[in-house]
Amino acid sequence: MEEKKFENLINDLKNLRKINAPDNFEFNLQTRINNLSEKEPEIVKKKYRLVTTIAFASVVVILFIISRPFAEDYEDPFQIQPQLREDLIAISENSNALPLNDIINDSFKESDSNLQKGIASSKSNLPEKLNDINSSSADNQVQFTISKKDLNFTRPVMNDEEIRQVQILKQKLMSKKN
Amino acid sequence: MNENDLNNLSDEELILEFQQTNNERAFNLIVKRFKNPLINYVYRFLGDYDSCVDVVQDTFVKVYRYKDRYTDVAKFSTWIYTIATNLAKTEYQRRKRLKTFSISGFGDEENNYEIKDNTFRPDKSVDSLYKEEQIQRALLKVKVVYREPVILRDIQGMSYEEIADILNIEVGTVKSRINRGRKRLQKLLKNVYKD
Repeated sequence: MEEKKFENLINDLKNLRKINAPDNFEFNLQTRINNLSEKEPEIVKKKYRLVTTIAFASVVVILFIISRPFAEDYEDPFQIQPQLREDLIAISENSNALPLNDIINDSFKESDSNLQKGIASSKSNLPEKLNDINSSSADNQVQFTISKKDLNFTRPVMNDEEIRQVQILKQKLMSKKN
Repeated sequence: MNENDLNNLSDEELILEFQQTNNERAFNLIVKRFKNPLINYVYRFLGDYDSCVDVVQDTFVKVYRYKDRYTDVAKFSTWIYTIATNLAKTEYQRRKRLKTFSISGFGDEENNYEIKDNTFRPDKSVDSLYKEEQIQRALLKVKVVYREPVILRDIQGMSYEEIADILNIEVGTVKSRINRGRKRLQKLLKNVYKD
């Protein structure tokens, strides 16, 4: 349909005279190709030299930027203080809100009551809390005394009757040995 | 492989022979087969004979240098026409940028000056010569995107699929561009096609 609309135009385009290559086309082409193959090694050499120079210059510039030995604000990466972790800072802030002595007293009270009851799980969370406190803030120097008795969390608690029976058993053992 | 054997090879087989054995005769045969169709195509596109010869020579130089880049997934003609098209477009843009004034009517759409081509065959009538000049001038006024497919289809006689491969566009786009190009040409040549 469309083709018919442009029938005359299409026919004229088809019948346009054919343009041919000049007689010396092949000769000129061969000359260009020969020139190309002669020039190619030189171009390759030049490119190689250029690339080498650019690479060397780039390495020097990069090294200089990294080291910057004469810069005033130069900081040795091995001497920089480590950054504070945000979660520890948060704890430190919270520790200001809760008095340190209260935490310690609470912990001791808890451990004492556990000892008295003779509960095996009398290990309080005191050490954890103390560690947290000590690590979160270098300024908070905690000073307190812990007796040997307080540290002996596994000490058995016996009543008088039990102590008496243990004594009797000890005596029997001694007499059998003798 | 002798000359006769090479002549019997297809375009694709010739370039493969050139790739594998670096046989210059295979390359020369490719040049012999494609030089005139390419000259015709590029001339209709650029409208300048000297430039068109340069572009086609560059095309063959590229084929020679980058012969290994051709893979047999596409037709050889498609590959070489793609190279020629790209080079012709580059040349067109370069000339447009430099605003070089061409007596063949290149670039400027309004001011075209004509010089009689001495290579015209004397047996052709004055009318037909005049019409041909008008058509060539009109072709150069059509936008590049429409000019390319019209030349490839109506002058070079290629299929829509081949044109789509060469221009790297869809077949539907090729058809619509050809239609638009023809319409534009028809409009430009309204004095020629009065009836």
